[in-house]
Amino acid sequence: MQHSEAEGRAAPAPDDIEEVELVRRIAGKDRHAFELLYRSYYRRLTRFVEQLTRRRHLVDEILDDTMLVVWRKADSYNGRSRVSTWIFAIAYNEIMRAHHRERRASALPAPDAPAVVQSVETDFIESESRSRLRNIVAELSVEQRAVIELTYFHGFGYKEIAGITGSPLNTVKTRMFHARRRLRALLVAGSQE
Amino acid sequence: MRLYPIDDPQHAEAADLLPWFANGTLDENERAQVERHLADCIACKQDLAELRDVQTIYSEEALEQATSQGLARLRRRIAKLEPGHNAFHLREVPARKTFPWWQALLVAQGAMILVLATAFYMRSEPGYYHTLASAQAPVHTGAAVRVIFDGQQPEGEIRGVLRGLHARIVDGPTPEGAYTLDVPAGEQARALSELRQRKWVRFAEPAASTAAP
Repeated sequence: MQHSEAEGRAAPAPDDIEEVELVRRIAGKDRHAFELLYRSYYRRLTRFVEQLTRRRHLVDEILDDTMLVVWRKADSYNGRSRVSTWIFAIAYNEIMRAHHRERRASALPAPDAPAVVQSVETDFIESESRSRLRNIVAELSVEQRAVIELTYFHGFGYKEIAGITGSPLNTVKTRMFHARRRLRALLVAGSQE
Repeated sequence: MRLYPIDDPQHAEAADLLPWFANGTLDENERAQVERHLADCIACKQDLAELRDVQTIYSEEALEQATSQGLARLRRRIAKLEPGHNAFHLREVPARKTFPWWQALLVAQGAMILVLATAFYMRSEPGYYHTLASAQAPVHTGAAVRVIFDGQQPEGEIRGVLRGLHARIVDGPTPEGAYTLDVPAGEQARALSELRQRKWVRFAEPAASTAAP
């Protein structure tokens, strides 16, 4: 899937056009359009917020805050990025705000209280590699997790990730480099079994 | 094919771009540049293979996590609705094995129970999201297709295919990972045919019309 950027981007895909139209209608306070966009992004954003915060109690709050910004600031969407990039950037900002707020309030060491997944009833048999993956991902910084999650799960390009996280391109590449080095341990450990 | 020095600029640049080469988001020039380098660099070729292995594990974990969380959440809701009833004995459904027709029927039945239970729950306990993700049927404009992915593909690729079909996920996943797609009217057969050709689609069947009553 080709992700386009503001400069030199290809013709937008039908989905992109549809989403741009939804945002335009939301700017006009069209509640139905908002519901459609909400439904379309709910699961993706929930997953993104869960992976980055690792704190169940923050997920709903951040999701609410993100979609509230979409509702209130839809008229500020300028069409220079895909709608998904714009919405994920809002979510990322909300995540980082919550992250810093939490750290200040509780002086928690790092963003890694028990992972969301560990708090649910996991009675499925899980493979060793997936379990190792969770441990390794939990040790990454929130910024590194964002790059991994946006690349591996949400299929964004690095330029879009730079837009979402408000970081220079080289920073995105560097975060990915360090995260990959950690993740490589997955395969090394696997081959030693 | 050779081993480049680690600080070789061409090698460093291509190596940095490998994750986005793998997820298909590089522009034409970058993709061509990485492809040329890959044809000549042993280390990057090995890196790409490793990266794809990690990405596969990551995708599997994501699917597993979403399924487990959805199931756990539903169990809690159903436990509230039906105290004492140990619902959803679905653990025997293999996660990534063949999927015979009789299991598909069980999935469809389970999904129906889920929809009804969720609708009942949401009617009885309105919350903030009630108006946004209400118990009303999702808005559909065309035909519905029920599909289960095997979890091997990045979500970005799945979305690319759905986009080509003008299909939109309007519901799911169920605890078994089934999604309901809304496809344009008259396009259901083509969508089914296209989806069934994908090796990462484990199950694709027409769903009962979900158009709002």
